[in-house]
Amino acid sequence: MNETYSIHTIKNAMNILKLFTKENPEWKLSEISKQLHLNISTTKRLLVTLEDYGYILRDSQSKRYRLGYMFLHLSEIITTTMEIRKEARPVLEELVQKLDEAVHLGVLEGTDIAYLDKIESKHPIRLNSHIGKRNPSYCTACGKIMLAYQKEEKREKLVKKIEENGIVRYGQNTVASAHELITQLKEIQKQGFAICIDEFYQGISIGAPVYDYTNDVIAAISVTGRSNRITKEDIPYFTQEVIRAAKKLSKMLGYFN
Amino acid sequence: MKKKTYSSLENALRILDLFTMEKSEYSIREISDQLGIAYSTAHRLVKNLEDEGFIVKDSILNSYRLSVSILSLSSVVTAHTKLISNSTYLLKKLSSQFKATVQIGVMHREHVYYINKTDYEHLIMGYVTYIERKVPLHYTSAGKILLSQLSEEEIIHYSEQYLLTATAFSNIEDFLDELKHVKTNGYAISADEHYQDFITVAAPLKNTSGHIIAAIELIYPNDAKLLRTIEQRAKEFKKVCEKIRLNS
Repeated sequence: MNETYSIHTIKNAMNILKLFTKENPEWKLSEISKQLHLNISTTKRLLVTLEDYGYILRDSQSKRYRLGYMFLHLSEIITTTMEIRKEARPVLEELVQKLDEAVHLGVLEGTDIAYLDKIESKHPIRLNSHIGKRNPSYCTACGKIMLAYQKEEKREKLVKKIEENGIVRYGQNTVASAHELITQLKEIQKQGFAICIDEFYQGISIGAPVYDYTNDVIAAISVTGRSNRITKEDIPYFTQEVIRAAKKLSKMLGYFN
Repeated sequence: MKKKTYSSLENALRILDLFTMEKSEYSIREISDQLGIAYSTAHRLVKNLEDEGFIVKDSILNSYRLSVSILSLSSVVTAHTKLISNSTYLLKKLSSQFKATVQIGVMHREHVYYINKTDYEHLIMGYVTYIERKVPLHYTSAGKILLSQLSEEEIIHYSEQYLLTATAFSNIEDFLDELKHVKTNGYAISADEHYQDFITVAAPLKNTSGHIIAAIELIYPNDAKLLRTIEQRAKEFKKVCEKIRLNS
């Protein structure tokens, strides 16, 4: 089989799945084909396979497609096998009660940070994060923590890859170069927390590392809020509480140190 | 036996299908062995899936697991499937009434997908067996309820295709017989078949127009005493379920 053709097939199929969001949960065949610039017959063929495997459902009345139950199956595997999520819940809940700003539990996936869990504050604000969302690691507190605490060889590889993919200036304080990023990561590792101010759009996020019994940092906890809600004066207290929560979770995961 | 050939996309989806609660990480070697595809093919497919954000590499173990990104797609399903939100209260009620973990299953192709569940804590505690969300129809009592709704032709077709792996039925006739009983009785019981630690009881669930849209399943830890009275409990459960009309 033609190699490039089959790679495109998988890419196109996965792009179809990614079209479905909470805002746009249903799509017609013609809409999908138009949106992804695929012809109708190609789109139809991909949808048939995706439906066979449970990734897509077709409503026979409205003729619209939506995501299939297979995702419930896969997400159950993720949440059950990643035990940290279960352990972290009460710790995150306590933290959000104390600080009344959104808190996140992030793990590294490739060069991105992926949110395994998120709890909103009582005054939810629109943040660019939700459970399962991936954000760049070099401009988020959780992400920088995860980069900073990698073994040196791995960290270098990751930073190199970030540089290759291109550093995007999401905010006015986003790092400008790999060199600057490395300097910051070293500082973060020394101090034990990361503070990002207006690096990923506008806002402040503060993160701390979570260790497990192997003494590795396996996740990061962060609190995030708008600059008008978290003031400069708040930062020391917020930092202290995020570190406290991360330490508590580490202890629950068998980390002694 | 005729060997089926799969397209690249099918093989990519078959890779995702490998992951379970018991085995949530795979090396490329294992993937190529499991799917019966060349190592280089497995490697290429894994890279594609990784690029698309569906799986990730664990740098320490050098194996792959499902990506957390999938959670954002499953949250779309949860938010927009009426049967999930509309069944939560019902499952809670049934759980306390029947003192069991209760789940609701729907059929898609040859699987039952459990889309919502209420745990009955005291009973499940201590049991290490996980209940998967996606199970072949003939494995569970909910699956049997859903299968029994199909035409005889469809049931025979299913049995011929998938029953070869079943241990509980020595032949297709036995299975067809059991499904007939399930249909007349209006309930199904499974014990010691594919989930040795559980006894399950299932009954059909109807929507407001009276169509069967799902099956509801009670899950108990396997227990000899319970097994003796399970038929009676199944009849009670069926009676309760018959009266329910769920908006979907």
